[in-house]
Amino acid sequence: MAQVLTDFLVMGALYTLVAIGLSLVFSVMRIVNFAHAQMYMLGAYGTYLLYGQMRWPFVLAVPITAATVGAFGVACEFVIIRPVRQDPARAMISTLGLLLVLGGLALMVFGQNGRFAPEPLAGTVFALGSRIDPFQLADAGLATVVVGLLFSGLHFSRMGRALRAVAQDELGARLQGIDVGLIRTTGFAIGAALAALAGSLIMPLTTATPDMGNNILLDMFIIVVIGGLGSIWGAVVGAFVLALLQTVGVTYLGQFSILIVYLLVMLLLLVRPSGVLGYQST
Amino acid sequence: MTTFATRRILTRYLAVIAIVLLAPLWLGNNAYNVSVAIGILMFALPALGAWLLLNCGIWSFGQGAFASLGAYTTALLLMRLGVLFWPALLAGGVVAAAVSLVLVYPFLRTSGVVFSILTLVGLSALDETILLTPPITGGGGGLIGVPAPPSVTVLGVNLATETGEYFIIALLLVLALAAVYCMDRAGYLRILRASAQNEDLAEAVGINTRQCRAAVFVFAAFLTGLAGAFSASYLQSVQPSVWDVFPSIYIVAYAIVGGVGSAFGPLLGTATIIFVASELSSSSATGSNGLLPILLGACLAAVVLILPGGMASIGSGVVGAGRRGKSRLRRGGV
Repeated sequence: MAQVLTDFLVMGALYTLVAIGLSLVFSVMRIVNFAHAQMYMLGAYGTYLLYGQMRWPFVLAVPITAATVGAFGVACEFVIIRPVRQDPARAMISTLGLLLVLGGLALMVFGQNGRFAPEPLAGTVFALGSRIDPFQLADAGLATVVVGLLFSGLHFSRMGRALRAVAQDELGARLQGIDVGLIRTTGFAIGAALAALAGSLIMPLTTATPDMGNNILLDMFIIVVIGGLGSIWGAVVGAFVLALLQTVGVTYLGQFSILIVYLLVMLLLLVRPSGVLGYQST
Repeated sequence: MTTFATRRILTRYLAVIAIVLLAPLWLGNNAYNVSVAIGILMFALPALGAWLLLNCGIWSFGQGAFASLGAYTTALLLMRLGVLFWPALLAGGVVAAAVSLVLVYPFLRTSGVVFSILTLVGLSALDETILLTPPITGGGGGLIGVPAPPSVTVLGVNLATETGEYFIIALLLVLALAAVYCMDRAGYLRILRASAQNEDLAEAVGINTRQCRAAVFVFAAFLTGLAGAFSASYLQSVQPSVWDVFPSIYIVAYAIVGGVGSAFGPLLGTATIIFVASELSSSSATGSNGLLPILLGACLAAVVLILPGGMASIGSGVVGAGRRGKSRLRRGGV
């Protein structure tokens, strides 16, 4: 029971990081970023290299990986999105191209086999009468702190308010003297870094594989459409709903739970295409 | 009555059809070359369907579901019921089209990104259903031992050989291209493009955009189902992974890389990417070493950034420039 609960918390927290990033990019740039899933994969491989191979401390490897992937996101935004930003459909195709290229490169460089690194925190913690992996708790806690920082940043910092202004009304933001291009790039970088952070944090719990981005692709889309595209709170709700269905559901409903998730999502989208908290569907 | 322009379009279609049908002469008896060519056509057929969908502004990343439906239908008919090859092949396409007919109207209540995600989720739901019903579908292991086409010699080609298989899929693609030609001549493609470019305006001139999209979706599902049905018999097995999420994304990508503006785009895109990838890696056409996605992804980004019309516009771009030049001359004359 406690293990299921921990799994649910960790999964929900990490899904939240990925989904908030995707939703942020969508709300600021109005494009669906397929390559977002590979930022998650890059985060896992970055941590594997720095922490698993080069033996850096985990607490150092994770932020450096996230920052590096964020910088990579900036480069991607400049090269493949900026030239076509007027046309969301074309921008979507170029991110799709990036998704395929990064997935293929990872397969070429690291091979099909998963890359493993030991968990940074040893030992066990006893809670609710059963053993719990302390690293899982640390993961969930860390993700929650980052999400909290992000929310306060979005609400109280100048940059965060500019991001929200661009998300609400691009022309209005421009009229207020906001550098929309800069904000778009920043939003993309933050999104990429958040996905990479999720990949970094989950890496020691599983293995880094070239497919991990591809595997989270569908989950991340499901989360943002459950919550409503472009809604940050919606992404949080969607992440925990999906995590609940995938952990508690799998435990109590068995193998049918995944199919039930898909069917429920289809039903939701057909009845309410804008999602639970969505303010628009594009 | 045929004007010069329509005759030129017909000539182009006939030329492409001739290339498809005469390719075995060039490929010779090299089994590897023929298998790559079969892999190309097996994906070009669904890509043609995706191309039609793109032309009416629909992004479906779940086309693999229809191919899987076709593949499992045909495999089960051949293995369990002993149905003859051709009816079983056709049934694969028909079942895919029937399922798409049930789904299309609810799905079309959504549009844009939500529609795309809905198709992705639908495909995953089908894959999951396949995994959960091993008594019928064989689960994750799939169905193995699907009968090959009958060993009949038609026009000097044995259908059970690699070359025979090539002609079966080539025939399906040629018929599909002929259907697209008829749609082109009937002005139907222009109606589709109008509904993609400006839905309100298209509705205002009396186009039922919803019905157009529904019809195209069902036709695309039929083509995709046929390709899946063929794959079952050609690979002599069906596995859910053959027509998974990523093959479905590739199908759309091939159509875009080839060019959304030309009916030959899907074939051109599929042929170029799979041929180059197989030449570079000399492995199977589906490619498990990452080369195919790298190549396809790079071409996708390049097409978007540099060549919006896709590969098919490379040649016609020159023609177009020439025509523009002429009209400028004419304007200068006046």
